[in-house]
Amino acid sequence: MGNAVKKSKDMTKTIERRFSFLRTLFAVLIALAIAFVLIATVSEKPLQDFITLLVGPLKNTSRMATIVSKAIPLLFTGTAVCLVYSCGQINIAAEGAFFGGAVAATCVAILPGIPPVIHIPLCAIAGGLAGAAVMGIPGILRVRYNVVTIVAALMINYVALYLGLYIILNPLRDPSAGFEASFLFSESALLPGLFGNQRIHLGLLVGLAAVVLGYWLLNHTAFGLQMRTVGENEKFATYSGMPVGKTIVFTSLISGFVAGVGGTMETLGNYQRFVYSGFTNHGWDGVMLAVLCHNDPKYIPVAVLFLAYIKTSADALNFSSKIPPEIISVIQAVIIIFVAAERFLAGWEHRSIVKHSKDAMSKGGAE
Amino acid sequence: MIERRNVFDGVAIGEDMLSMEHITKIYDNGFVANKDVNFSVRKGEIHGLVGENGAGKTTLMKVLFGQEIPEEGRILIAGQPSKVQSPLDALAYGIGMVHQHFMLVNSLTVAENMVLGDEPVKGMLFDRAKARQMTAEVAKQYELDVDPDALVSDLSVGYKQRVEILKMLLRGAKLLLLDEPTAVLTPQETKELFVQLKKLREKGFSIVFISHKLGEIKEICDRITVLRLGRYEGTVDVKDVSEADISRMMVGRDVFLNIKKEKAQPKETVLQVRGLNFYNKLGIHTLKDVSFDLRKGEILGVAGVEGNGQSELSDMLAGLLTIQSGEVSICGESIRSKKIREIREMGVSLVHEDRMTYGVSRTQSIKENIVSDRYYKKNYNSHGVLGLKKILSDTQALIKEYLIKCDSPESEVRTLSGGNMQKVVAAREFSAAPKLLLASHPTRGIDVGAAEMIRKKIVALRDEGTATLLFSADLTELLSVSDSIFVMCEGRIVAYFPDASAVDEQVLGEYMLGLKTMSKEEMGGVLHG
Repeated sequence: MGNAVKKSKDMTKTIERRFSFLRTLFAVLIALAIAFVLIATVSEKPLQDFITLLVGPLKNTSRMATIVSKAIPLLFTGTAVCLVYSCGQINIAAEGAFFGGAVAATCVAILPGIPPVIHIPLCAIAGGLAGAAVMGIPGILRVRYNVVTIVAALMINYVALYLGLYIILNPLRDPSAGFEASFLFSESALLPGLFGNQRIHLGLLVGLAAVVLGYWLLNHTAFGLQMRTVGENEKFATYSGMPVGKTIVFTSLISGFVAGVGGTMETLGNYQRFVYSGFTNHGWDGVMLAVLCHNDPKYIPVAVLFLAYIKTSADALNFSSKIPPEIISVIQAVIIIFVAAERFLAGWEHRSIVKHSKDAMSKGGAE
Repeated sequence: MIERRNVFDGVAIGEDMLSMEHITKIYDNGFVANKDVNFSVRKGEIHGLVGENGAGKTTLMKVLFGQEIPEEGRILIAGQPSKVQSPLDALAYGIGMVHQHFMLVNSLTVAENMVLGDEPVKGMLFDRAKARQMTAEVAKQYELDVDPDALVSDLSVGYKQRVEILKMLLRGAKLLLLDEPTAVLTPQETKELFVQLKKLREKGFSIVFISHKLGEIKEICDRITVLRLGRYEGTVDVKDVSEADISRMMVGRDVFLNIKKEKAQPKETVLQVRGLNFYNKLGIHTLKDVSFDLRKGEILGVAGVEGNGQSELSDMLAGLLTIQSGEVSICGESIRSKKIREIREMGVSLVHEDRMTYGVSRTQSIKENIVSDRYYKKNYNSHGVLGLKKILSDTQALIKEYLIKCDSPESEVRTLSGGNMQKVVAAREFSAAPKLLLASHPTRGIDVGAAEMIRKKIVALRDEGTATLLFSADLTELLSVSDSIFVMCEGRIVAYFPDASAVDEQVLGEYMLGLKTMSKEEMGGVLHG
């Protein structure tokens, strides 16, 4: 009998996992159905546009390179938010950390006369530290003064944005550029392209490394155990004797560093000078990715690829049809809502768990 | 307004008023709480629903009260198949439930609570006078004395329970479901409750009495239904069975109700507490000049009605609360301004009374719950990297030693039963080889088998030299496990008994309620010097 009960418990887990997959699948299907309806109402050639939405990004290698290029910054922000969320901190300052990282990297990147092997790491460190400062502040405020993290993080995003813009548009502004931008980066600070393609740059490797390191930190280190325990049950962590405050502060700093390096890579990989005039939304996408991945960096690469694919679809549609890109944003939002809805399909899930438990019980009873 | 159907009026005393047939309830996590359970109540009886924790008693009553919808089975009310889809349905049929945790609003008066959800109105306004009158009437009718104008927050636990019962009677309940009503009461309050219940029985009411305390079941119930592991074990007349018979039906094997232990051999003082005071956030003085000593190889029991300073005392000794005034030293070393980890490293273990919040992290694995206090030590990590293999093998060994029923060390703690969760806590806290063990309600709400094991382990630790401070609301446990006992009342130590075997529940109860207090001289022995 003990055996049967055990099997039924294992089965329950399997069913839960299966439904987690089904939920995602159904969410995507429903979102696509809604997308089709939306496209049908605004498009003159709905079927063709729908196909573009589905497979447009795969049409040629240039578009496929676009997917990868769009994925690179999201690897950083997705991992950063996974880490800080794992520690239970709703610290949404990844947006500001990404932006601040790009600004700090710019300060270093315009310096002349440094060899590339040193210059790129220097930029990354500068960007990382700036990011760490941005995300670290809400963490410190939470621990020291019990400030609500989400509020502090939201505000610090604007501090990072406007302080950054001030630096770019005043001391670093290149008056000869003809538009609002910084001085040109030194050649030695620009990231080398990979596979002979300038848009797929060194940032891809650094980003993948960030994902792997993030996963390793969470699951294989003593600090990671502290992070997760504080995140799951802060009181239990305190009772166990864990340094809760320290864990929250260091986690915020680490996450900010990752996001800041992301900002560095995105800027030095794609541009000749600093060109942003507002938020880039990579941090907000990171929040979305962390929710999709249940804060586990293991799933970040797949989720990032998916998001980058949709974004590329949007570009393709925008290019080949009259459908406004806003529609794609609607589709994205619908997918996230369905995937994040835990009770979606819950009735079905409950019925199938009940069925298996019953089978197991009747087998158990026969023993 | 609750529409009353008065379906039970036609049922004669001693006849089945209600029966549940083949009830099966399966929860979302796949847990089968009830499997093919049968249950019936006769008019005018007190029916005991007994079983270990996790046996499905509460679930069965929630099904009857409309809080859970069963997957299978049917409910016959006065012989008619009926659907009970919500508590409102249940109340309409005349079924009322008093939960383990009272459903009263503390900031309102008794009368306001009595009518809550079914308020009398005058025009569009709440008719307070009518509410008071209704309360007074029902109190008089059932000889349950309450003051309609008293604030609920000022009431004792036993009083609150009386209000809950009256509330159900006011709503027309003919069948009362009481979920472990005595768990929170002192012996005196329990006695009073039993008198009230017997009166209600005479008036033709029926009562379902959920409990796992055998003495009480013998005393008050006419018939009992036993559940075990969610299954129906049978219904018997109480006069035909002994306490041992009932416990065998509950557990499925013979249980030794008293644990065996040698006489304690206390040695030098381990814990020294002097003049401890505590004012909580609201400025209430919850610990008043508490001083005592605890010696190596001794189990010192702390008796007291909950909320008389015990929680503050145990939290303070473990470092969860800051010491405001007074001195605590362990083996001669003060714990003032020490971090929790430092206090743990001095050899202090704590089984916290709030298992779900402090004792375990429900969404993490058993493995991670076991090492949460020691993962940072050399044998579990090198340079910050966890030795996952060592953690796994040590966890496996503890799962085996403490008989934790689980799929694997990776299972999340939330998938375990209450008893097995507590075994995880015990495995962690006991295996730290504590010099001082603070055990706060270590067996509350867990099954007889697990409780027996935890008590045995506490005694075994004592024999190895651990000094134990045992807080428990279960006086039987306190008296059988402790070597000596002190009683707390309103934040003070009011009595000390150097030999626990020389006292009984009655005597402890008098001190717990504050009816008696020992003088400083009489308690002199609590300080061993």
